[in-house]
Amino acid sequence: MKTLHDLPIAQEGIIQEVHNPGTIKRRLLDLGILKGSSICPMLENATHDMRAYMIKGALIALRSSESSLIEVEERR
Amino acid sequence: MLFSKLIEVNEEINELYKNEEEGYTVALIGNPNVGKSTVFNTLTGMKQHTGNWPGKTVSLASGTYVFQNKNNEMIDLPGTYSLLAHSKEEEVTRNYICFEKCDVCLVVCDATCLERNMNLVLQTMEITNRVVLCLNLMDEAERKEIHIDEKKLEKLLGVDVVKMSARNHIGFEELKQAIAHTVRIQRFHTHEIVTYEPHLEAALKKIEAALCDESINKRFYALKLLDPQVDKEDYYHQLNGDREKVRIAVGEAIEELEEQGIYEHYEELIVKELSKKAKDIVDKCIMFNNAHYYERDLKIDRIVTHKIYGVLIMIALLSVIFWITISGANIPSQILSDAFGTMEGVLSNFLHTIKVSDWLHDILVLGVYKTTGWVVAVMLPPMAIFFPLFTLLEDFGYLPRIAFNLDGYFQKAKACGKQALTMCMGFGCNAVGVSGCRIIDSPRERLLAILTNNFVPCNGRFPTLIAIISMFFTGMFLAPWNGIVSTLILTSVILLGIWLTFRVSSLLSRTLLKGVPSSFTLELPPYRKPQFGKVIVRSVFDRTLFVLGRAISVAVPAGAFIWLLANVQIQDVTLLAHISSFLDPFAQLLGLDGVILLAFILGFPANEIVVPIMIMAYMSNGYMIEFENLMELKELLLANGWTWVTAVCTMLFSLIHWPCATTCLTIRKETGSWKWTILSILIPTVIGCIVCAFVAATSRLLFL
Repeated sequence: MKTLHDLPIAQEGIIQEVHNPGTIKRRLLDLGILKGSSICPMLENATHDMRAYMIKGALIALRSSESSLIEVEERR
Repeated sequence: MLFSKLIEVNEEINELYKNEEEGYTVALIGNPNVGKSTVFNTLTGMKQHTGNWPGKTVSLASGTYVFQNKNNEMIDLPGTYSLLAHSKEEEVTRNYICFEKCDVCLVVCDATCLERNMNLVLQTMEITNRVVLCLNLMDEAERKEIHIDEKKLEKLLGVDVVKMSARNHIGFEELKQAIAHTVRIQRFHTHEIVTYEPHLEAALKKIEAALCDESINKRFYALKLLDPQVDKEDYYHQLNGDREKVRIAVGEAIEELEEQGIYEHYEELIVKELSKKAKDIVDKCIMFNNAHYYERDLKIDRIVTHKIYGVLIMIALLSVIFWITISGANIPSQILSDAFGTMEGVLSNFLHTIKVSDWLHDILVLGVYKTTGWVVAVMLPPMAIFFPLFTLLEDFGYLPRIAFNLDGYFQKAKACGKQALTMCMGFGCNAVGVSGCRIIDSPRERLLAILTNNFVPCNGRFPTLIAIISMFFTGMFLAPWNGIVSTLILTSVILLGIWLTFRVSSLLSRTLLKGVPSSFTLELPPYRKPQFGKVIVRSVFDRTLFVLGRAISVAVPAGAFIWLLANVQIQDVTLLAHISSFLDPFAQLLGLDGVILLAFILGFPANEIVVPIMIMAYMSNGYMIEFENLMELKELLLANGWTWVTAVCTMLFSLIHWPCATTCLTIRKETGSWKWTILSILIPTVIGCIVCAFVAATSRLLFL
């Protein structure tokens, strides 16, 4: 299974599972990052530790430590 | 008997109409960065600062607006994505809506991403049925070809919906009408906003049955009393009637949910249903045509967050702002300076004609007037240029991109990427930067940001740096090169400050504030065309004049005080000379002199007055009485033993020394501890001393 962090730029994906613990999980849920949502990586910063994702019409940046705990499936 | 009954009834009637006469209370909530503050400001006429990045409202603001002869109060609550979570802002907002009993809850939504905003609407509706939904940023939505059927939305939700474009002043009449309408009508709907998973519903029903307090929203209380993350005592405390019965019911309900194995997923179950409902509603009343709407922003984003050019563009943008500030400030500074010079003669003559004593004349003219004149002439032009430029950048939505670019460095320092935002706020004023640190959730990372905010020079220090740079380092260059060289030097000083921010954050993360970086999310808002006119007016009147006013209110007494120090003599030596010669040996070690160090110490209330104090102290040494421009000031400094090493050390010390008094008080307020406040003074002071001493010693070794 691919993690959100491995999803190539501009490749839309469907979230399968969110493994993040504790407080951040709530924040992710608030932003619409939950099972079944579609998400698409748009930008990556120079140090490769942060990427911005299009989710429900908003651009949200996550660190790799968070996005690698989110499982996705590529949308074809 | 009858009479007392009458009074009772009368009081009841009064109670009923009281709200009508006094107006009503409107609580304003919404996701971060949806234009809440703009709505608030336009309605109430207050000038709360707004900007295009999430988390501007860090404390509660309240204002009033008049509608139909009623004076209504409006409370601006912190921006939050949800009312479920346990962050400070969300708790403040939730408790306010739940316990304070406001008359109407106005939920401001971003029409361009309604689905996400709908979560908050539904959660608010679970607490109260007096909700008005404000669809803000309709202009942007229309540009992105998002069509919303607000009548249908009204019907689906059962609340008033108003389309608005707050920035363009569209929709305010309708909004006021809707609020008044919601106050007037009695909505008794207590239907479930969202229907949850069956087992959960059974548990909720059980608690609802045990709650016999009719004045509360039972369903919401049941939801919160079940929530494992919520401080239940807050809710029990509000209950009338048999609390024990409720506690037992809650205990049983939790036990049952645990047996069914779903209690550990409580919040997920709640959010899942909320999101589903939100999507359901939005799907029914929105027509999307969003295939390309992010294209334009994406083009800009690809450039400004480019892996190679991103950081360079950031530095270049900063440099351009500095360059415009430096070259634009020269002429008005000179004009102001001349004007103050002319006025000084007039003032002096006037004081002589009304025959005030000489010492009073001197204290007023040479002390108070000269200091204040310097502060205005040298500080006002750069501030009046820098603030609007920076505000434009902020309005445009660029600042979160800086955070995105720099996150790697902050992560290495085990700090929060949002620290870049508080750092940027520090350019305006460190006190503002420090209170802005509330946007950082983790307490450890918030402390890092607070303790290092002072490493970016605020607007009170820029002009000092600019003045020294133009006096000592660019004299040999002709225009326009001198402006460019000044800019480069100033930019390097700022970059040094930013580098120190990283180093010190990293050092603190490994020592006093040990820990791992916590998770956070950073929203990159859509770019918005800055509102030029508004930005200029707002930043000049709100920020520039405010900061200048504070500087002047310090400069006036400081001017008098320093004049006294420079003129009261003990054993034929002025007090000032006594103090500065006492400080001198230590100051020399730092490449400064006693007067400079004293000026920094006396400049504690406001950094703006450091240079005028120096000038006055030097002038009392008798070298010079008048100076009209920076080159004459340079002569004065040279005559007092300044070299370029002194200039470098003064600039470095200006960048790296204790925070000003206002900032210190803000740090105390934000951290709630003197320990951290003292540390925030010690850290930059010690580093500043080390850096200056190092530069001074090196230059001595090399006989420079």
